[in-house]
Amino acid sequence: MAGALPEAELIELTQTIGFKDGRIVERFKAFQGTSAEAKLSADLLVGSVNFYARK
Amino acid sequence: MAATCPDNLDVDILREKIRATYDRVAHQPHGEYHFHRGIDYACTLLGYDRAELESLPLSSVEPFAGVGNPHRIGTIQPGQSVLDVGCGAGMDLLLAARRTGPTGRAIGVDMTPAMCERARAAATEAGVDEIVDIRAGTAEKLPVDDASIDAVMSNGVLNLSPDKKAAFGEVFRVLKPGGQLFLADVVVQRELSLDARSDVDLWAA
Repeated sequence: MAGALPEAELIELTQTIGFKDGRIVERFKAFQGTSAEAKLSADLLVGSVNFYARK
Repeated sequence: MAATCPDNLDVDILREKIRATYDRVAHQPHGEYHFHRGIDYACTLLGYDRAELESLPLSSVEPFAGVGNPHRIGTIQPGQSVLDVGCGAGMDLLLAARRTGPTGRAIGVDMTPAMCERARAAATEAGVDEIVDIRAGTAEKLPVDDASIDAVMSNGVLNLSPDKKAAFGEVFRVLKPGGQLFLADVVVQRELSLDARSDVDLWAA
């Protein structure tokens, strides 16, 4: 989890590299009910997303 | 900027920690972890089709530890070349292989040998080994030709890369012009503290 990018940085990074139309298209609660959620996610504001881009 | 890991983080130690974690997931998918695995999780929280997953080898589904569902982002067309970066035991890759079919190709890259072995065996068991090609490698140095891929998938993996600029650059390199990225990954709403980003155990959590 500590390597996760901030959402805005994910979009910015892909744009910088040359990807087009980068956008988050869906969000998930992938850590719901895990020990990670209990111990970490609330503090770190961690979530998961589906992200689309094209070359 | 979180795209590169902190200077004080030993990348070799980080890779070994991640490799050890996912080696354990490959061998003991029902063990204790900080993250969900398996079919019930994939269907309940990520929107995968249960019947479709039940038709895959259990050996590819049980260790599944993705965080989203790349197959809901876009459609893989028959005949396409697909790459799964960090394919693990192959669940997403086998679904992609079925969609691209015998005229396409589904390449999986993973840095954990046990996951590569599982994915190869699962492809054989699923009858798609003529379509599937499993290669050992990392996201920062993909063993894939330039401009050869129609769609790159990745599920819960690129957050583990210590050099995301290099990893996304590699994805860009291997995609054909107009090629698509179907990415599922962990994100945060604000940049984590340097202490958190320097904690190897927290990377693999």
